[in-house]
Amino acid sequence: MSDFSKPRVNGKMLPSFKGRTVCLLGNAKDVDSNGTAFTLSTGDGQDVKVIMQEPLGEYVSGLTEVHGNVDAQNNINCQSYIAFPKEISDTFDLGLYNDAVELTSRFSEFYKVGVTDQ
Amino acid sequence: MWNQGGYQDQGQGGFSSPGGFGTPQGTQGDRKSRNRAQNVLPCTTAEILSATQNDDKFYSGEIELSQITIVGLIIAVKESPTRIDYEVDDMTGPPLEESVPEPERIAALRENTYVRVYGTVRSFGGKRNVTAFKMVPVMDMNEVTYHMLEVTHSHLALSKHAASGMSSGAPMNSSTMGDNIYNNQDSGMISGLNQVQNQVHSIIQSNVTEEGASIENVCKQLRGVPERSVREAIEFLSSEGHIYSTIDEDHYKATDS
Repeated sequence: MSDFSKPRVNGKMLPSFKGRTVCLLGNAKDVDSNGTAFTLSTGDGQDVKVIMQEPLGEYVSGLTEVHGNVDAQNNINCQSYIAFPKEISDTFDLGLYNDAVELTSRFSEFYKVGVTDQ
Repeated sequence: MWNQGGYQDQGQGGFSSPGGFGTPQGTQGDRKSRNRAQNVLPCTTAEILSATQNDDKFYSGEIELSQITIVGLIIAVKESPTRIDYEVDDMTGPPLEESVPEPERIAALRENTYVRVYGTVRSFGGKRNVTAFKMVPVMDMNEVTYHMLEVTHSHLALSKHAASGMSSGAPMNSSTMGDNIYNNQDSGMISGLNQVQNQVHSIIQSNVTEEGASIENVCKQLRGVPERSVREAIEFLSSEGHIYSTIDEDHYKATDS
């Protein structure tokens, strides 16, 4: 099932993406003491646990994008992440982004995701 | 000798375009006369990579992909003397190669940053890529949201336009679709004008004489509409720039006819 896509999803959509790689954009908080996990708040009001492969080298807070695999408990096994600076985090409208995620998911014939053949 | 290019204008040659506000035609483009797609299409990398190819034209369904814009994350940067190659990932598929030629004055953009790319779809050695003529770092992440919405909207509008042809067509599920904000000249409906104004504009637009449509003429064609309403509509259309007076204040032509 390797179509190389990392669909943009929100917390509520995770159960439908078990075992798949997704892209999650939200606000980071509650980094645990080892730096091996943190919580990502998505635009639909859900809190998702993000599990790191290696301990975080920096403190993440604010807008963060996580790319990773959804496990059986709807957590994300993080493959890579981007921590956005405060200026970008402050201006971002997460609610609107959530609307866009739901809309593009619904109208997948117009917002094409996944490459079937070359 | 100067008129060999076939311009048939005032005899100056060069770039004066034949009529209306058409884009100035350079000599090269005119010779090829390929009917090039004039638009820049917001799309996803998946769409570019999945597009079918016909000669050197690319198609995503019915839509021709020539100039495109995407918003994605730089995964890799490779600098060479004549250009910079980026791999850009917008989460919809494998990273897409984007080449920026002649980068002398532009510093390379960094990995793990979001960028907006404007470029042309090309295929080289069976591999699809984009030759970028502009790459700008994304300073506000709302641009990502904006791009997702713009891709969806533009594709919806294009498919609706193709399916329904000239008329306003069957309404889609969303309520705003009836407004046809792409200002189709064929259907004649311009949003922001009320019914009378649209009708008046339509009549003036269809008049091909040099002196244009007379107010008397317009009133005759709009039997049910009082002359005062017609005059008010004309006043509004004129102030908005849709029409202009010709030989006198009673004759008008449309600016987009």
